[in-house]
Amino acid sequence: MTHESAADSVESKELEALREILLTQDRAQLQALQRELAALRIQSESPERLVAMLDPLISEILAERARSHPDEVAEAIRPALMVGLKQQIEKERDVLIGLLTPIIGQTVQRAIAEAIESLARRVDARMERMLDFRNIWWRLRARLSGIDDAELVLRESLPWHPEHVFLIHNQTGLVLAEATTGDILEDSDLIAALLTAIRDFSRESFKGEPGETLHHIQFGERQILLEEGKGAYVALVGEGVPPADAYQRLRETLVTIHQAHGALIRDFKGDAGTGETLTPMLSPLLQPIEEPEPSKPPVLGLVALLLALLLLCSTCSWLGYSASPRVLARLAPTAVLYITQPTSTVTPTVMPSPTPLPSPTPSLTLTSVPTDTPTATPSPTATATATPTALPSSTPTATPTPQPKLGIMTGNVYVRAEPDPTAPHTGKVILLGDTIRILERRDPWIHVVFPATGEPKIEGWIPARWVRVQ
Amino acid sequence: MEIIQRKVCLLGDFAVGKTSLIRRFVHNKFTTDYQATIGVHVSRKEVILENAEAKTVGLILWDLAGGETFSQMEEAYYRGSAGALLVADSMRSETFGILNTYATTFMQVNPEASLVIVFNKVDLMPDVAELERRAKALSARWGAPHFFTSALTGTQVDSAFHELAESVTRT
Ligand SMILES: Nc1nc2c(ncn2[C@@H]2O[C@H](COP(=O)(O)OP(=O)(O)OP(=O)(O)O)[C@@H](O)[C@H]2O)c(=O)[nH]1
Ligand SMILES: [Mg+2]
Repeated sequence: MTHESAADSVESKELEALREILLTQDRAQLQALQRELAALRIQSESPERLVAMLDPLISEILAERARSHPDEVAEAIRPALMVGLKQQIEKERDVLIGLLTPIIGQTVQRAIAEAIESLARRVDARMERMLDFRNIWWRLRARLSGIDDAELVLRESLPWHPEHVFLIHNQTGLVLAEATTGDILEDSDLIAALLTAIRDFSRESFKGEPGETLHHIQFGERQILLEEGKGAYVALVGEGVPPADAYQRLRETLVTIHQAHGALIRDFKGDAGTGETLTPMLSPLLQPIEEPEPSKPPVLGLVALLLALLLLCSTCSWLGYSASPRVLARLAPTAVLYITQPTSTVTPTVMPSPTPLPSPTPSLTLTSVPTDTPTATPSPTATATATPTALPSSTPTATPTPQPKLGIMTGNVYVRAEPDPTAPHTGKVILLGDTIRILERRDPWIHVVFPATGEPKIEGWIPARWVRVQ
Repeated sequence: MEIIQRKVCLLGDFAVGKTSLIRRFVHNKFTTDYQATIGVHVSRKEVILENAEAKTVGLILWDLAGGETFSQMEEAYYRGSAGALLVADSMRSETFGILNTYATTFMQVNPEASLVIVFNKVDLMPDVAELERRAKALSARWGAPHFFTSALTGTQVDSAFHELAESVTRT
């Protein structure tokens, strides 16, 4: 047993020596690895050390990730970014404003500059056209109405883009017809119904004068112009600044539609087919407003205008009536109206008025205008107007219209007992599209009865500009 | 196919379920929270009528606020309607009688119009016998058919509106 154990001990020593020879290097490596592992464990368990270790790599990793998966990265950081941004804005509002002001300022400046440039271009184009001889007449007329060139050009240059137009049945609020510059709206029935509800609501709530109705709705840049006729109303939707004659055009369209298809509108219950008939009559409202085609300067008219002005001046000076040039200028175009529309004027007779209360009023001068109409046979009125006896009346000279004439209303108008804007109105309204019979004309008033035929229900005076003489 | 349009009004006391009936009919939806209608709310729904000449009716549904005093405002809203759905709450018998007032004013403005009467919220288990009796009396008085509906479950909602669509195309 002792012998055996001695032998074992020798063997183990030899083995150990052999291990020493073979494994020294491995052992050293193993120990190094253990040390490294221990160091790593310490690092991973301490966030500070981990951050210190990853820090140099983070930006590289992010950059790589953002390159390969941009959407994912954006999605991942968005919430944090938004919160951070919000907090930052709240905290450092002034700093941010300071940073953004130059950028926003520049953007706004650029937008304004572009808008002004475009306006300037339009103004230039208009000015060029205004210098065209054909436009001088139109310009002259504007001048005479007291509008100066700059105002006129600026107003004409403001853009108006009509987008949709609806013809809506008064009673049902249903769409009779519609036209658009883009796609037909899916909800036009709803829009029409709501517009009707708004119209009815405002009418009932504010309880205005009879015939008074909602004319205009605006939201943002968009405008809705509303004009009501007897059986239907038009709603024109557009962007920008509507031209001065926009309502006039709406009224005229309504009158034409009511004249041509009054029965169709009256009997409408919601059945299909009205659109085909009525849409073509609405579409012109969507065409961009043309500059009013300058009516050819009527040579005759110009001569007459000069004569009218001369007469006016002489009359005024005779009466010691001092009128400013502006007043004269404003009166003159009215005189032109007489000359260019002889059918609607009174006969050029100066009649002694039943009320002999001489006092000069502007309308006195107008009665003399028809004498300017060059007629083959010199009319005795030419002399009559030049004499004081020709101007005896303070009231507009009443001259009966030779035959009863018919007219169509181009608006809803109060009927007054006297041809005077201050006269009390009768509380009656003749509606747009109604046909009236003209009894007498005392410009700018006409004496009418409604209805045109049969038992008259309304009689009185209305301003002539609301009547289209047939 | 010919599409015709008709304006119809929904009338009845407050909270009887007018707006809910429209919501069910137009959007097939229901909500339990009550938001009183202020003024008027307009919706549109097309109904295909399967009668002799197949027709599509675009119903323009004017949902009016309930429980208001009868004023000229309501009359203005009624104007031009081809028909009305008179709505009562099956659980509130006081909402039945007031339908007479609504119907009278409405028919004064639109003498040719058609009426359909609806007893809503039947899912809440009303007293059926009593309801039947009151419904028959109202139907007889106005010559109008009646329906027991639930905007919550959808029961009879389509049928009531279809009946209204049919009748407004007949007038
Ligand atoms: N259980 C049940 N509740 C209903 C039903 N219809 C409507 N309601 C509930 O009744 C309440 C009133 O419903 P609305 O549809 O707003 O009533 P309304 O008639 O339009 O009320 P006003 O606009 O005030 O005139 C709401 O809380 C609805 O959820 C129904 O069929 N069953
Ligand atoms: Mg409601």
